[in-house]
Amino acid sequence: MNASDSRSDAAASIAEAPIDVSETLASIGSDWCRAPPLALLYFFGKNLLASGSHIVAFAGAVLVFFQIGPLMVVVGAFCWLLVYAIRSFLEYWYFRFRIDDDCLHLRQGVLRRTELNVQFARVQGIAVEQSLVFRLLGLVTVGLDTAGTSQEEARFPAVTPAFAEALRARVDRGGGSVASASDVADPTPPAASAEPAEQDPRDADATSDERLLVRLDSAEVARVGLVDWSALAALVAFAMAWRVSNFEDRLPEWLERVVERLAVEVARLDLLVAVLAVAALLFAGVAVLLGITIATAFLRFHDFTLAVRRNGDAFHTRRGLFTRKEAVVERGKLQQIVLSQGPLLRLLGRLRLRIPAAGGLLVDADTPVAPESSVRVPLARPKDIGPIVESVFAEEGADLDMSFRSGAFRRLSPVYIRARAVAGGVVPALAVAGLLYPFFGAVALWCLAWAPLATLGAWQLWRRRGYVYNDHVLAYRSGVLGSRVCAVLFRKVQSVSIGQSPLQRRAGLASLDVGIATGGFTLAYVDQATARRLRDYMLYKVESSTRPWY
Amino acid sequence: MFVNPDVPVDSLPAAEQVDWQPLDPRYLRRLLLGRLIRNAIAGLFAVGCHFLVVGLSLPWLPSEVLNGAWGVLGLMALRSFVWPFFSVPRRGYAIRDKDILYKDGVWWRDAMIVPFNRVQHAQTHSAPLDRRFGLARLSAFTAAPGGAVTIPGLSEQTAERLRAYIVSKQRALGKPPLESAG
Repeated sequence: MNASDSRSDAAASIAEAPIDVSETLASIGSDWCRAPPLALLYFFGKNLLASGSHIVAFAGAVLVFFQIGPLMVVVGAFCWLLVYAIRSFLEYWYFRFRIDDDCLHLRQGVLRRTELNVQFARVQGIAVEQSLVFRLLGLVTVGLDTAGTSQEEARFPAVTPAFAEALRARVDRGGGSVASASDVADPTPPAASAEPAEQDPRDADATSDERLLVRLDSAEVARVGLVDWSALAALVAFAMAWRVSNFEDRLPEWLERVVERLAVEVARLDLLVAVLAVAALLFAGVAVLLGITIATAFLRFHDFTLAVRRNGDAFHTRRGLFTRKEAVVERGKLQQIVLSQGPLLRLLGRLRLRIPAAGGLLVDADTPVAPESSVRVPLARPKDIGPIVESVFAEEGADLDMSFRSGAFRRLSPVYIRARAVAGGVVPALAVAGLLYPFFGAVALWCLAWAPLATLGAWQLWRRRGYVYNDHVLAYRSGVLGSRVCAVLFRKVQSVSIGQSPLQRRAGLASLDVGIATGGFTLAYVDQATARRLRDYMLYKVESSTRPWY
Repeated sequence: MFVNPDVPVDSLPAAEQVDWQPLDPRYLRRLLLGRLIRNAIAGLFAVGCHFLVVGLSLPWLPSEVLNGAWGVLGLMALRSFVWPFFSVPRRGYAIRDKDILYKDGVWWRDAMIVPFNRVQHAQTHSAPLDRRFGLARLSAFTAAPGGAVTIPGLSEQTAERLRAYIVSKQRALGKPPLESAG
């Protein structure tokens, strides 16, 4: 089986029902096509989701500041929806595409028109998405991804699984002139496939062609919600904004009465009961927040599975409760493995794993949702990690222990602590104390307490940092309260540099900066000879490798 | 028969042993002229601000602070003129069969290496002042963010020759068959 077969997984699993690909291709013409009318739903939903938060914020602000009646709110909301409906229709109307033998042409945009040409040979993967509405209608949205950007270059909304399969077949062929002259996509459902898809994509589990690596059951998905603090952070930000803007002066009358009544009732109670009541209220608040985060986790990661093809050339993820998302990423496209564990995850004995692919920048390793061009496991047991690493690195990663507490990690030089303590502790503390002394006298000397604190922080940073390597892979550990390990194949390195500060030169140390397509990392304060040896070996591996890096 | 012999790490070519090429001597003069123009513009702006502040006679801004600001500006201008005499000789580049190297830095020294088979594209760039001195800057971009190597202060002919060489090397080395992806 060749590598291109892997691209078919996402489409194939949704289009499990027998599809006559040749018939679908035969119905394809050579003119510019418009998406099916049901794609209007996609454009409308996309626009609404993209600006839903703005609408809510705007409506809230109008309610609070202008004290308008509910009728005006309804009229306003209707007008807003009308604007979005018109915008969605225009987007749908100007969305056209054409499929040639070897290339896909896409025109879109209302005011700013864009035309995109994607060669089938350049397509790295196909992602198939099925929202709840489209599931009922038996339709899917197909996304094509190349290595050029971190997002999908082309998306075809409201197409049939048969069309997805036909497109997949064309991508597999990598273009060419096998098909007839009338070989252009007609996404309109043929009579036989106009019915809803016979098989729910959730049933399409790891097939016999695939080996299941991770499956998140309900308890695990609930844990994903437990460790997601975004709702709490949002609440804290909201509370701070509330205090700053004196919103309590603008509360609606009924809410003001409820708060006052509550305060009076609490004041009447005994001290112990009052404390218990406040604690219960706080507990209820936290429970509601946790409920929200857990519900969000179920929406995103319900029935999450990660599987690898038996021949090991691609990874297949499925996730989602209402909107079901599937993505296939070729192994060769993956650039690094990032394992992370915050304090909460450590308490639960779980890890987070992300394997970004070329074109997908590793902006934030701790964000639970990543672009579909990356392999992402929001929560994994330590025992799951080994098989995943083995599948990604194959024989190249053998004998490399990447676990956070592995004794194989070499520490950076202790000079690191001194440098960090001086630059981040002693110098700023002395500078601030010196600046404030003329104004505050001896009180300003309290600023000097920052120096030992910063030294402790530097020591903690040094404790966590370390690196380990074998003949093919370099892994770097970092973190302050949590831990993070980043591992990269030498042959996938893009650039390498060695830097030396005056202090490092005096101590015979150097910083090795490793650039890879999804970011990179710096091994600071390592022995100069080791840094040079690693650099030269890395270059040897890159320059002698005949395998592509993506 | 497949063979996989050991590679002694000590036998690998060391980047420290390359023959570093200095930048074009005209680059120092170009830097000095550029800084003269920049400092002159900044100086005019500072004089304007000075008269504005004196005219407003702000009570919370004593003349000592104003004099101090002029002192700091003067030191910065002096440093910008003196520094190129130290920094330019420390910059250099080297071209090997399979990669391109660039070093710079006086206090913090840095040496960057980009293999040709990781170069995405190469470009030359020249600002008006560069063209006045017949200079250009060469950049070779990789897929890594911030992973581009940029060599300033090359003569226009050298920059163009190097760009063509990098592109030819990139074509020769950078496109292995897709079938062996992994």
